Amino acid sequence: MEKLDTPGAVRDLDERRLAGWSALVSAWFDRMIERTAGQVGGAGDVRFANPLRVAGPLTERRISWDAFPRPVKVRHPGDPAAARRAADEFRSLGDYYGVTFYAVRDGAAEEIVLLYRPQDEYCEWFVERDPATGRMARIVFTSEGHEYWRFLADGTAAFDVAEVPEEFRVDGDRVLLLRLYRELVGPQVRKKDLFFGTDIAYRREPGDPLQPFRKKGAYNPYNKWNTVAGLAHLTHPENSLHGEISLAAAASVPRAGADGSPVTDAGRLVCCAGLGDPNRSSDPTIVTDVNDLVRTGLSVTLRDPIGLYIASFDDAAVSGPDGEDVSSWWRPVRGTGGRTVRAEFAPPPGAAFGLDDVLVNGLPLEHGGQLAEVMTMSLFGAAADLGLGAPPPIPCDQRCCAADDNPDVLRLVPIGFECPDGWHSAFGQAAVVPPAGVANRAVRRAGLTA
Amino acid sequence: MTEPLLDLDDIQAHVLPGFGHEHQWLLGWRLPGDEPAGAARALLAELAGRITPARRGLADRAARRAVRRGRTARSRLSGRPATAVALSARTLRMLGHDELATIDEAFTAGMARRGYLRDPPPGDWTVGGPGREIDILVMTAGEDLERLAAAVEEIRAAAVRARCEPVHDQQGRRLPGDVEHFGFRDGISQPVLRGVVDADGTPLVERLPMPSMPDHRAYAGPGDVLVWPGQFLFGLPRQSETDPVRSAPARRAPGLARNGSLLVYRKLEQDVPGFRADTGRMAAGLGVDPDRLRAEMVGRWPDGRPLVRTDDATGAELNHFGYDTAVPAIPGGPRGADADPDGARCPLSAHIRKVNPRDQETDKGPPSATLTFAILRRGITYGVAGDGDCGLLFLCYQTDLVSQFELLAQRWAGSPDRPRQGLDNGVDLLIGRVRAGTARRARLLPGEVSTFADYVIPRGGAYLFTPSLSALRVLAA
Repeated sequence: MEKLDTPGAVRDLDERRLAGWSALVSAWFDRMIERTAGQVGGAGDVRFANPLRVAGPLTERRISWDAFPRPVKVRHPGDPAAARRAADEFRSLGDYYGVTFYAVRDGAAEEIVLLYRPQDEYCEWFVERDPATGRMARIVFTSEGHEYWRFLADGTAAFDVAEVPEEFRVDGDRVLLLRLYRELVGPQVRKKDLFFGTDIAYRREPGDPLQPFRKKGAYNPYNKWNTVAGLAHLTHPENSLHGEISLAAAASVPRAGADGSPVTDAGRLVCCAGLGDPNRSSDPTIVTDVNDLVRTGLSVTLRDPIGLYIASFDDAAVSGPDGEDVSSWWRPVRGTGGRTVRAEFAPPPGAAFGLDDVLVNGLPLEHGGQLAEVMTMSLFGAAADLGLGAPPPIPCDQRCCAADDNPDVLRLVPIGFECPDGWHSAFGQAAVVPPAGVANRAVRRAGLTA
Repeated sequence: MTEPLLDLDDIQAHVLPGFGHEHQWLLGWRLPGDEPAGAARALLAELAGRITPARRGLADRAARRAVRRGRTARSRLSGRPATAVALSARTLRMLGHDELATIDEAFTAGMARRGYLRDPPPGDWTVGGPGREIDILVMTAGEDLERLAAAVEEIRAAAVRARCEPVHDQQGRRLPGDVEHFGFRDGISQPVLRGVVDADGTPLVERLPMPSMPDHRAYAGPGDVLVWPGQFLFGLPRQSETDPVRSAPARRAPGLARNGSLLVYRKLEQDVPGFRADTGRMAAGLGVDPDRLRAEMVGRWPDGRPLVRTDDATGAELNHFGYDTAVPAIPGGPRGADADPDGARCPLSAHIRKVNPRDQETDKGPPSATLTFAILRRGITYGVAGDGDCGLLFLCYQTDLVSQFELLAQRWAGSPDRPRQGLDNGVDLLIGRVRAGTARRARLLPGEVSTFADYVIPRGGAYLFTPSLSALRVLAA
């Protein structure tokens, strides 16, 4: 393999930019391999590979999870309707990072709120409504990470590209970006809506100095056509392609509990490694499946085209008001070769009834989340036997605490720390002091500057 | 953690511990168009004094076991039939209890509208189809068919007096050896409810000394996994998804729902000649013994021995095994058993792996979560194999239809790569349903098989609510 393809193998880029994209993703892999080497104590114990550099046959492994955000669901036990409403409520990106964002213009800073969706299983949706009637016109779903779109806007310069060779550094194609927005979201999208109109900065505490976040003119992934007025790509900070690679890399490290026994089950492992959100469907599933492969002596990577995919939609769940077949209303619209990164559910022209009349398992369609509940997401891992065997496990970095009033809600604490008030040890894991000299090697997924 | 007190005088015996009698009769009525609430109240008032509480159900079960073990004479069995009643969401609405009618959205919508079950069109149903929906279902059971028939006659007469329209009348009978019509022993693995039955803290089910198990679950005895009762009874602590031994707060529900449960009733017709012929064809194609192939579809031999175990398992050993981890020998009890994570001895598509993946991680998360999907099965066979209409009257209890029955029947049984992730192992060939006109396919040990035939055909049924005895009195008033 010479190049890594775009997510969904979409054909937006010219050859030069495609090579730039490939180099960028390859650089992320290399960075993760280096990080993993630091975790395990040497390159010899790394079992995560760059797909461009894997020799030998690869066996594909599909890893699947539910599209509806489990962190939202578990916070509304026994009340799916409330969970669907909550999944549709935008959240503040500043709250996510624990900062306040500011638009900085002529030296003056004005507080702003950047929004993201809490739909954090690598699947986000938007309900388009007819402005005249307010009735639902189309429900769109995406699994495209923000990175590809930032790349479209600003090329490799949108990222920290120290590892990207000079000859692969490319500029963006803002004409293409606008064209895609107009195709996918609507012709009303204006170019200036897609970019920050001022420098954007943030600070953690009121008295702190402002820290730069994005420059004026940089692509704004949280623009209105990707949040309150439309959907182009994922917005949740954890829903990123870089996050997928980071997670797979971190999951390639076998772990052992305080007693030295291997940590293998999904719940314990995602807590032990301190990866992502232990409440999600996706992260524990991905982590465990990758880890299983490594413990059997295989080396792992991600299958090209690397992406997060809308794998299936159970069309038996939807019907018209009198049982009419509406399965044809579901339509993949972006991605090739069965690798769907965007799909929509909408009535065909001339349909006798609209989305507001559709039933999902007998209940009126009111929220995009009802369709997400019958959707499955996937990524494609790949494994190769490079004859290296399984590496020795490393100790846990973190463990999970469960909420006393709802033990299905988990949070991470570092090893050696007690659970906060109102929380108890999940999985019967008591706080243990980490071995002397062992640094906390937990990997934070979504950094503020990533 | 302290286990809750189970009110054995308030919980219906059909929920706990189940009837277990040889004969059972199911009677269903639709409420009349005029004054449906009055009709419902009239019938419920007549039924209220007949409903069997859990305490009597447990005593009857103990007596039956004593008879079976030769410790007491059959004449000591109480001949009085046991009776239970369950109500549709429509009935609850008619009675002015919207809060109960909307207790679970699948219950509110009704089984006929749950498209993803991929059942035949409701218009083709013989039970609960359009215009024949079951609003009130009575299940009555006993050892003495004559006395049972007399009780059924009294209940029918009560329904006539109440002006309820009969829409269902179905007799069931346990087959010798508790097998279903394909010849396999059924009902071996059931969750065991946590809970105590008196102020002294006597557990509902006796706890045998058990070593720490590698799956981190708690067991009442070998193979008898303990589950918090809120999975099956409203108002009680439910099972934590993340910790196999801890409880979670009860599912939010109105006070009147306490000690009640959601009932799934499905009439599942079994095509016995079709099953034998089709599996015979598959076996011939693969060059294997048809009995072996059928056992792989089920995951057990007809007498209940699990394919996972390589020994001649008997008694508690039938349920003492895991998939991901080997189970240890229990001192003075069953022998240990090796694991079979990838389906080397029992295919991943086997029925018992599809609907109960035990200690194996699933697409829904860690094995602890699997405990929250368990159901209490109360089914009974009907008809005679080879004599036309025969099958299983599938009955099960839970407090969350989507996360329990529907997850097992729709998502796991009907998905080729679930519950075990990443491996396309095919569907559960016994009950898995796929898109009409599509072959059902499964990977068995000697190779892949596929068929367009359905051996188990859903003929309809209903989602119902089985109230507590105290709630029933309120509803009847």
